[in-house]
Amino acid sequence: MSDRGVFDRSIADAIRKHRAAAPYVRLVAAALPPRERMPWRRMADALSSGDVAAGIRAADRAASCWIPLVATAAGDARLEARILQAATRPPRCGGRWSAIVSALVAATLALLVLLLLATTVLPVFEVLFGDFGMQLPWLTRMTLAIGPAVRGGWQPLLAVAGLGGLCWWFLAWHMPRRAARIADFTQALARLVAGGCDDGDAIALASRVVAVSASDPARPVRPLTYAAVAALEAPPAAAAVLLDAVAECHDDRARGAEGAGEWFVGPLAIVAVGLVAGLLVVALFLPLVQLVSNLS
Amino acid sequence: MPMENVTPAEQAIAEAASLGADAVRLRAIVAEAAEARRADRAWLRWALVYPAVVLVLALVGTACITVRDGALIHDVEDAFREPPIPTPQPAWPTLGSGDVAVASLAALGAAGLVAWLVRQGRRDAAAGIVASRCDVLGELATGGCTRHTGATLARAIVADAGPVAAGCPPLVTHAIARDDSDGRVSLLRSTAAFYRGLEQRRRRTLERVVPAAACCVAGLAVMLYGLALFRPLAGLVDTLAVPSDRVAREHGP
Repeated sequence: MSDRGVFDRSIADAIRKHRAAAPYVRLVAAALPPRERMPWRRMADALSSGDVAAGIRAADRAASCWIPLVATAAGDARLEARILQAATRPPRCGGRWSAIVSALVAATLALLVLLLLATTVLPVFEVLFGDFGMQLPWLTRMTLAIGPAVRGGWQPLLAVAGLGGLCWWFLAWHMPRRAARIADFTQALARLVAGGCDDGDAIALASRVVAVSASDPARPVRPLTYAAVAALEAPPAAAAVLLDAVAECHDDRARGAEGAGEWFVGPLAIVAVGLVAGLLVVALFLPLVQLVSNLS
Repeated sequence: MPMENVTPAEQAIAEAASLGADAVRLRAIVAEAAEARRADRAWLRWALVYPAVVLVLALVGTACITVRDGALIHDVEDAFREPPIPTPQPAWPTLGSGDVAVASLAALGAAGLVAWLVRQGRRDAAAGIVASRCDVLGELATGGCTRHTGATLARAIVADAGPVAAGCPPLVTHAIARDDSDGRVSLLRSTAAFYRGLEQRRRRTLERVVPAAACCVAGLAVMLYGLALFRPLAGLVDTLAVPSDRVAREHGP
C-alpha cells in the first residue's frame, strides 16, 4: 500500500477507535494559546462528527497532532496522557517565523534609521557647512557622502542586504530546521513503534508528520537516520526508548542552532545602529565645535 | 513551632501528611513553584533596568535641553541678528510635529510594553500555579486522599506559591474525575507537565521579546533626546550663516 493509503487508512481507524475522545481534545484546545488551537479543534470536530474526509484534511495540515490517536489502541487509558504529551512540545526558539521576523524587524529598523538620517538630517547640515565655507574634517566629509551614496546607489545596497539575508536564512533557519525535522520525525516514529505499529507503516506515517516521502530502511535518507534504523531492530518497547533518545539529540541540535542564529541578530543590530548613529553624531558635532571655537 | 505562627499552607500540609501524603514532597513542590516565580520576577527586573535607565536619562536630558538650553540658544540667536532683534519667546517650550510624533510613539510603545508584560506575567503565574496544583493533587491521590479532600487541601497548599483560582481549570477537573486511582495520578502528572510546558513557552517568549521591545522604546526616547539637542543648535547655526537674508525675509526689503 502507498504512503498515502497507509496514512488515510490510519486516520480513518483513529477516528473510528477514538470518537469518545472528542470532548477531551476540545478541552486541550481551549487550554492552549489561541494560535495553537486550530489543529486540535479540527481534530475534535472530525472525531465528534465521525467525518473521515474532514479528519484526513485536518491530519494533512497537522499530522503530529494525530499520532497519539493512531498509536493508541481503542479503550487504552493512556490516550489522554499521550494527547497532552503531543500538545506539550518542548520549547524551541519560538515558532516557525519568529526568528525571521525578529531579524527582519532589526534590519528594517537599522535601514530606516540610516535612510532617515541620510535623507533628512545630513542635507541640512551639508547646506549649513557649505554656507560657512568651512574646511571639514575627513570624518564629516565621509559622513556627508553617505546621503548621495544612499540616494543614488540603493540598488547595490539592496543587493548586499539580500545577500546578507540569504546567509542569515541558511544559518538561522535552514540548518536548525533540518535538525528539527529529524527530531519531529524520530519522535513520531517512537510514539508509533511504542503503540505497536508495524515498522513500515510507522515510517510512512512519521514521514507525513514532516511532509516528506517515506524512505527505505535498507537505504535510509534523512529524516530517517541510521541511528533510528538501528533502534528499530530492538524490541518495540526498547526501540521506542532508543528512538526518543535519538529524537532528543536532534532536538538539542535544533535548539542550539536556532539559539545561535537568534542570539547574534539582536546584538548585531544594536551594535550596527549604535555605531552608525554614534559616528554621525561625532561627525556632525566636530565642525560645530570647530565653528564655536573659531567664533570665540 | 507555636500554632499561631503556622501558615494555612503548612496546616494543610500537616493535614495531608496525617492522611498519608508525603509532606516533604509537598513542601518541595510548593518551594519549587515559589522559587520559579521569584526567579521570573528577578529576571524581569534585571531585563528592564538598562532600558529604564536609558529612557529616564533621555527624558531628563530632553526636558533640560528644551526648557533651559533651548531658551539660552534662542537668546544667543536674537543677539546675532543684524540688527539684534529680540523675538517673542513662548512661556513654555513648543514642540514640532516631528517631536510630538516621536514622543507619542515612545509613550505608546512604553505603555503597550507594560500592559503586555502585566498580562503575560499573570498568565505565566496562573499556568505555573496550576502545574503545581496538579502535582500536589497527584501526590495526595497517591497517598489515598479522596477527590474532594484532595482538591480542598491542594488549593490551600499552593496558596503560598501564588494567587490560586477558586475553581480548577477544566483539564484538571477532568483528570480528578477519573475513577481509577492510578489513572488519575498518571493523568494529573501529565496535566502538570502540560501546564508547565505552557509556562515555559510563555517565559521563553518573554525572554526574547522584552529586551528587544524595551531597547526599541529606549531608542525612541534617545532619538527624541537627539532631536531636542540638535534642532536648536541647527537653528542657531542657520541664523549665523544667513543673517541678512533672515532680516530681509522677516522685515521686508
